[in-house]
Amino acid sequence: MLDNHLLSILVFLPLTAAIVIALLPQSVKHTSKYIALGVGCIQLLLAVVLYLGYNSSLAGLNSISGFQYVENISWINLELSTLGKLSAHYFIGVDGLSISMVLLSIVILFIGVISSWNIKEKVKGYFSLYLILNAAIIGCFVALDFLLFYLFFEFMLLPMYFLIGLWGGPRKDYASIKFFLYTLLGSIFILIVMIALYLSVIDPAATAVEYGLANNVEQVTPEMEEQVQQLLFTNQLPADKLVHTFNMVYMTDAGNYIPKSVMDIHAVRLIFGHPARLLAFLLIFIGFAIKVPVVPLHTWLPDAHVEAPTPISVVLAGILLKVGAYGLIRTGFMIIPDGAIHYSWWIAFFGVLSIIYGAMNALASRDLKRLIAYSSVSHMGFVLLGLASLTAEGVSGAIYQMVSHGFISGALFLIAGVIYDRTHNRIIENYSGLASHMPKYTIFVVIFFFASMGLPGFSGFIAEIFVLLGAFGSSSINGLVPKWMAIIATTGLILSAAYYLWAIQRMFFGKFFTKGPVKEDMLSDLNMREYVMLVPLFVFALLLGIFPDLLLNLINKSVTLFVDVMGNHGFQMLEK
Amino acid sequence: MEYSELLRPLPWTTPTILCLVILALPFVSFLLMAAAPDSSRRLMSWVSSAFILIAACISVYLLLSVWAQPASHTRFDWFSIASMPQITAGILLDINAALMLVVVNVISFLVHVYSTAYMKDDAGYKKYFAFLGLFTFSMLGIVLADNLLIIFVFWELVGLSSYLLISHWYQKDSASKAAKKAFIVNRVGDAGFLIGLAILWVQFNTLDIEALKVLMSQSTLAGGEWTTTLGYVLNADWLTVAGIGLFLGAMGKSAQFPLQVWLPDAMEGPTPVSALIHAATMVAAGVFLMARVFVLLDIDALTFVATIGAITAFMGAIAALTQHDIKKVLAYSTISQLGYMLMGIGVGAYDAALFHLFTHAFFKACLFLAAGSVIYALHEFEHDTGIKFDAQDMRNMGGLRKKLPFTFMAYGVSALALIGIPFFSGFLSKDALLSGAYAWADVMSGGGFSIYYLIPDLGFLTVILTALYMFRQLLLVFFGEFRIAAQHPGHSLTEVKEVPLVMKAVLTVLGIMSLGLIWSINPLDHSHSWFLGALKAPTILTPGFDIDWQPRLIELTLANHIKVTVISMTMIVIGALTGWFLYKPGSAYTKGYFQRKNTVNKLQALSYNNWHLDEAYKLIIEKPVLWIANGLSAFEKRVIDKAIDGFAVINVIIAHLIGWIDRMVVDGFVNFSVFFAGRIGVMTKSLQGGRVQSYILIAVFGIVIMIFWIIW
Repeated sequence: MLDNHLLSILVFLPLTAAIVIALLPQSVKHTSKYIALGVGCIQLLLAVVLYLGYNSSLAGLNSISGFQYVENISWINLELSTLGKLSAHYFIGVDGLSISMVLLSIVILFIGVISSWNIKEKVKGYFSLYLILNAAIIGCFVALDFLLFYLFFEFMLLPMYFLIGLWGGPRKDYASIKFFLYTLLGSIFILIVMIALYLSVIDPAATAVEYGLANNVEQVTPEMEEQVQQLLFTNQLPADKLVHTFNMVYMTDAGNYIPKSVMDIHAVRLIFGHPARLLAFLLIFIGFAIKVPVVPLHTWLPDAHVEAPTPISVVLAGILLKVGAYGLIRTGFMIIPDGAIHYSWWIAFFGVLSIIYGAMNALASRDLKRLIAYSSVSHMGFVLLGLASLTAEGVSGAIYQMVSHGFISGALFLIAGVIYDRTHNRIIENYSGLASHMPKYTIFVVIFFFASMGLPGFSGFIAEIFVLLGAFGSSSINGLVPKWMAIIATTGLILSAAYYLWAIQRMFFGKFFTKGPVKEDMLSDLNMREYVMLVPLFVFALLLGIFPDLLLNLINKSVTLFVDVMGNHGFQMLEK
Repeated sequence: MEYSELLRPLPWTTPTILCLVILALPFVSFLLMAAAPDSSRRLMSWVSSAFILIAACISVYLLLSVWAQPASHTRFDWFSIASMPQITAGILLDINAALMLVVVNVISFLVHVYSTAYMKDDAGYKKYFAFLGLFTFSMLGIVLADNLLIIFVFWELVGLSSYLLISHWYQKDSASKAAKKAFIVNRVGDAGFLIGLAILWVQFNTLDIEALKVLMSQSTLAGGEWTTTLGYVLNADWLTVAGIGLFLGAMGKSAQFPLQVWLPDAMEGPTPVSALIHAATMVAAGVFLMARVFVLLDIDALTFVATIGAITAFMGAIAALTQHDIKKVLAYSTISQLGYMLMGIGVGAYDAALFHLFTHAFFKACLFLAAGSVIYALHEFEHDTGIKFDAQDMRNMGGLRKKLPFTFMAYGVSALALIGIPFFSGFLSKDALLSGAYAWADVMSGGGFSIYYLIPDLGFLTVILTALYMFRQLLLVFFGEFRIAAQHPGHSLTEVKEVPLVMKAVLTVLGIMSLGLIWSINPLDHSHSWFLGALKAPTILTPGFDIDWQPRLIELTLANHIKVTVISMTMIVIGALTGWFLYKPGSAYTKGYFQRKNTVNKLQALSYNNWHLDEAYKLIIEKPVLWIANGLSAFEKRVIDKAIDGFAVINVIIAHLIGWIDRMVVDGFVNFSVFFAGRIGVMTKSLQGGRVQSYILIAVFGIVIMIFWIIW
């Protein structure tokens, strides 16, 4: 039972708990945080089960049998006469790519609950929204059906909007609406591509049944699927026998595309004189790039971060940004590899641009949280650069960076939260010499600042160095990313040292004094709750820095396959 | 050869296990010091000193056991990336590493002991010892690692510990700024290091040094292309760039032009730290690294190294001429001497460069710790008399030899070693270096006269300067009258007390190590040194390297030796005499100098301000970067966000439009207002109703605006 429905439990447990909290009477509203904590604990336990039960020799990505903990239930079936049959499935499962994201999410979401402990107003609403967010995030990472994925993806927006808009800082309205509109815009682009894909891709198994090759899906053999693909290719299948699908794994198989459909791989359709598939990739890229975020589509992020309450910033930076990158890999790269290769120069360019532009803005930031937010933009640039290189090192580094940045940026926003909780002020120049007043806090600040600037021993180092190696090697291996981009990206390492060390120098070193609204007696050192949040993140960042195999073992097979698929099929497709 | 063979795990052996113990000891010391309660700090500092002593003893044992033996190498799998060859880690104990272990551990131990007295009353005592442990650990990591990636890991950790130790007195703005500067400048070098690593990685898919040697020698250079056995091809220039990239890392750590600006500022750290990190060990890491990768360098990269080294040697010595601060003189002298060492690497005098690294480590540590003793004594004097003055400014000193005879002895011996006077250690190594440089110029110019001779010439010029600034310092600190007391009637030199016994003991050991006899039975000829006998330059393995180059160097080095000795002795005499006439007690020049009345001409300002490099950096890097940063930040607020806000207004209109359609379409579903159901409703209904087009139409409209916005 547990093994078969592990992922469903992970998704629906928080959803159920959210409803329970919503139904709680006002008199016991404070139990809601204990419920959220309980959900977090159970999810952590389940995460351990998930990790231990995961078979790292399977790759996933483009073969259904490569996924694990799969649940596939027919969900929506509609006859659409000439448009064939619509079939959406409740199809979930994990591979190397998604399991790492799921594990990261569970840890960060748990820490987010602890960080939410001193939320005072509208407790019920807060925690039920938080749990809905929790469910949507995990759902998003395990969904293998595009419609389901899109549903969860959109679903994250709503709680996020309210969590920022209701519990945020002074400019929360502006920030939340900006966040909402930006992300919604991205969603529309993704939606268009999803529909186009839906119209172009069939489910070979279900079509086989429909065509009469088998009585039900269980009886369909790989040979039959091949036969169906052959028939499809030669236009021998009548349109009303075609079962359209949202299955993202089928979408990766060129054989499942209906000839002459919008997204057909074999005969390129032109829209406004541009190949449809490339255009589709561009749309998907912009859609997810907003979420990542990629400069110049990033301006929602600093505002959302600055105004969001601490735990929401943690979740936002720790997980939501990764949803963007994850979506890009799962849909953009896997389904339209030709587009990814065609645009790899630009993807890398925008990655490098984000690295430098984010770092420059961090350098100019006067607000500690804004500085950290821009550092996120800068560090997520490495993900893009690594992916664009399409080399084993680059892609591994990119995924490593997603996980590493999840832990480290989560910790950085907690750190900003520590000071904000006490003084409600984050302006760097209002502080000086905090090291002598809050020594323990300073230790953690120094640790995480250095971790974030890629100090060896912490996870960020492994991530960034392999992204750089991959980006540098790309021109020798596949000729996608020019060397100068990798060289410019290394200056990002220098800039990150500059803005972090400058912040340390201004806020923590020097003679102790405070300015403006900040009063000395507000500044108490770390408390127990804050240790409980910071220490695990420190341990994770350190473990992943010293034993990279912990994570790489999970993703190696998937990355190998990914690079292989992109390197072979992608180029072949592009030639067509 | 297959990677599985090249990178096969190698078992642990007794020497490598001992290396692991050596590596663990300072790390445990770091953890202990970090965890220990403040009340036990004195005891714990002795415990950690004992730890390093054990490590030092094991190092000596290891040195004896690897002497004239093949290297011990242990290697194990660290992790793997996708289906790439394993990333390995391991310990490579060759004679270089063993020698370096001894230097690091012995000096670290001495500095630990010295610090127990020097830092006795410091509030950050515990933190200080913890970071000393961390530093020692990281430094040993560089020494022992068998893989450039691991070296890079420890390389950065050394940078971190240096940052933490420079900012020991973090309340001082100057200290925290100096720490920041040190780290950032080092990062610039590290970025270059990383590019060097990337080139090697791309070509060879491994960074294991032993494997790189094999693969490098198998790679070929033909028609301007550098091809490896894996079939990867790069333009031949990248081979040079790889070497220069690695050297950039060394330039950062070893404070080479133009990255030397951080080292003088790093003197903000406690003096024992300056001795350990910024004189003897960390700054020598660059030299050690270049020795490790020596065989992977091509002739152009080597020439680049030699040029930078010679320039730095000269620039550092010039800057040392006019400093007031006792430690700053030593800092610039360190820069200059590091320049010598790297020049040595570049000219192929591999053994001489390492020899100088070792002799320098001891005499420079001795100089710094002796300077520390002077500062300590003057602080005590300041404390006892209540006179406020800068205890590091040499203009306040003078005549201290009478009250600090012991310190004076140690200072004198090590200063003579630094200058390169016969019978002292520095003479031997510097002689070897200069002979090598001269021979190199001979080989490179092929008999005729050429620009290559500038390199040894800069080296000889630096000899004059070295003698000059060291005599100046000796005269200012230890001779003449005790000026700060002279300015305050009622006080005199008699109030200065010699430093505690512990500090004296440390100075004794280091002073003895500065004697020439320790290093060679014939203290007048470096070729008799046991040290150089053990170290031989390995054969360079880069493709296309002239195989006659190294043998000819050795031949000519021996032939040139006497000539070089005579030249450098003459140089020393010139420098020493100049120093004497300018700075002898009571000279006209010093009178004005002490009263701070001498006019400063442009040349002196150039020297005092270290060639105005700091100002230059401020002007061409710091200001523009901050200007761009602020500009981008303003651009984002005023342009991007304004545009977005404008776009948002349009978006709201579209949103109303969508909302209107939603209302029309969803209709009966409204009561069922859960978002999720609503979405599905929109989807399915619009599909059925053929409204997909309208949805797409709206979205396309959005994109058009979007594209318009991007272009505009």
